[in-house]
Amino acid sequence: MPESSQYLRIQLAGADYLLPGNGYAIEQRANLVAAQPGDFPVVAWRVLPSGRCPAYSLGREFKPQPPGDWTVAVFLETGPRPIGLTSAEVQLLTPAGIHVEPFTPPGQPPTHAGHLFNAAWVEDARPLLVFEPAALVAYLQTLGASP
Amino acid sequence: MNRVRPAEPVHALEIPTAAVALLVPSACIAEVVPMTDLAPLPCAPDWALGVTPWRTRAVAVISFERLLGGSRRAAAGRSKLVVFYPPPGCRPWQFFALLSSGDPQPHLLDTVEAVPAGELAGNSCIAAAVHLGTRALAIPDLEALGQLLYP
Repeated sequence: MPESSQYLRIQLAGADYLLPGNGYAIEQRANLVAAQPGDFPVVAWRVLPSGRCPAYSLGREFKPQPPGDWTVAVFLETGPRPIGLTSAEVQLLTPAGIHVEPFTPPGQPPTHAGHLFNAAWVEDARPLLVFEPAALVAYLQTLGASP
Repeated sequence: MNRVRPAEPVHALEIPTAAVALLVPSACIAEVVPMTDLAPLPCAPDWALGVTPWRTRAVAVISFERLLGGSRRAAAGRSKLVVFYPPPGCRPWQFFALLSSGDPQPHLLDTVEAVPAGELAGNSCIAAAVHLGTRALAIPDLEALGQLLYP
């Protein structure tokens, strides 16, 4: 489990998660193009010269859900077209004070890149799961938007 | 029925679950803690109920009745979380917690009576069934459980 020099706290469906590293871009909702109803499960698009990049809203079980009360989208770098997930709130954290322990979710991994989480931090008796970025990207790609 | 007498008396914990009472060597159990609100564990099997904090770790909480194919029941007021050490063959951090439906009870066993596992026979998570007093308890196969939890 590699230590990270920084973590991004992401709030998804009322729960907080940590995204390690800096391989992402944060976009305000106002800077994105709202998706059309027929675009679901995409809820917004980030328009780049190379094409448009989808953003998804995830529910508690990480199933796609219609756009709700989100303010930003976090686009993970993956090749020419980043892929995003929306969040009510994000916060950049330095590793000082963060004590991350390895964590393996039970059962078969949900993606070809493995489990979505590989570590966790217990903050004030509350566990925050740490994403495995490659697996998160793989999972978002299975949601399947056409650019 | 076979009477089994271990070389030494064994400390064991009886863990009530909604499906069946389990009998587990106390040495396999790290701690019994009160039930708390669980954090979600997205994309997990339905027998994984969520995540609880335990010391400095996040620990996955398992429903044994769901593992046996039963329906999910809400935790009751007396529910406890029984934190297990990592099963044989698992990584040192792969603790897990089992949701009990009541307070686990300690026993010191010098003789137990093996009984047919009944409808639990053939379930890979059950190693055997025993009589303790008038009750039948299931002994989980922790190695098989470890392979299921952490394949």
